[in-house]
Amino acid sequence: MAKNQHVVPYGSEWAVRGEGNGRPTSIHRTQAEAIDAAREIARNQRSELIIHRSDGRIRDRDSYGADPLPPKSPRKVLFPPTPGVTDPDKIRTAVREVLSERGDKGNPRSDPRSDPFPPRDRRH
Amino acid sequence: MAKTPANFLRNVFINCPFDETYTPFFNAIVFTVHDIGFRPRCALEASNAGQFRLDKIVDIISECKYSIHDLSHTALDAATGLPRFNMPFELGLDLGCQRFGNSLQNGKISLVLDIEAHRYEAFISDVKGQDVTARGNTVPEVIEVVRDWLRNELDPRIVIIPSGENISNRYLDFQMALPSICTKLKWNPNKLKFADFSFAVATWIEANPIV
Repeated sequence: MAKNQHVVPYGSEWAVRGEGNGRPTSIHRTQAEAIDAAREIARNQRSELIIHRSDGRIRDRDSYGADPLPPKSPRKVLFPPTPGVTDPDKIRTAVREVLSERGDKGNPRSDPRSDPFPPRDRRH
Repeated sequence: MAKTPANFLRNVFINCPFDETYTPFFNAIVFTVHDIGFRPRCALEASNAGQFRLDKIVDIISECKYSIHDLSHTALDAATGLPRFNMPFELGLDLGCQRFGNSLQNGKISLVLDIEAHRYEAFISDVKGQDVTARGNTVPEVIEVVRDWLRNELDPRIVIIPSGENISNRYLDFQMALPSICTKLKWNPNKLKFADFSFAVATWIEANPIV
């Protein structure tokens, strides 16, 4: 049975707790990490995500079950947790410059609605 | 209760060969994982100075709900004539974490790849019964296998899930841009650092979202 997922203060940390459960499902250093974990569970269970403030009052809530036509979007891109050898800002700048020069941003080949499977040489 | 690392539910540990012959597949897997909204992790991440390689691998495994193990290069090394045990060993660490870890780690999910689906039974029969997927021999096939596996973890009513062919096309677009990116950053395209490459992939995908 789907359970609403609560993000609640847990000492100096934050916990994800299924509604009605005594024990937390997981404990996190920050509220953002707890929200990320709780959101995944709520999505999977098609239930609600309820985010509490540090004083216990409800700060926000999101539904992943009742909305018959939720807006679809690509997932947020996650970056590496540790930097490499190159300054990340330099990588960002270089990638954006190349995209700008090539005109790749908004490239219709990346748009499945315009041409989902264009003929390409697939040899690698 | 052990703390849950940030993004545990979206981290994907990649356990595969790090040699030149596998690089095209490895880079494609990194791109695919990013393109579906997960985060690739592997032993090539920069680590704290002095951290033992095994400690680093254990840390990463414990921080990933998902893992991809490619056992296809578990064969005698041409140069040394000795078998390569790293991939089966790290598969064992991952299965151990799943069995002996905390409640979240008990839910770890693995994709085991090999050249043929049942070949592994000849060299690591203890894990018989584990689902092993034949990964194919081309980049589009590997992308398709990884995409189809991760796709099961997403709700298509909420997020846009690109098809394998769509990811392959996007990866080709990225590959065409990569030489220019390397030139600007003075990177050797044949010796890309994992974290740098992963960051470049993520930046490119962020600028070219699936629509």
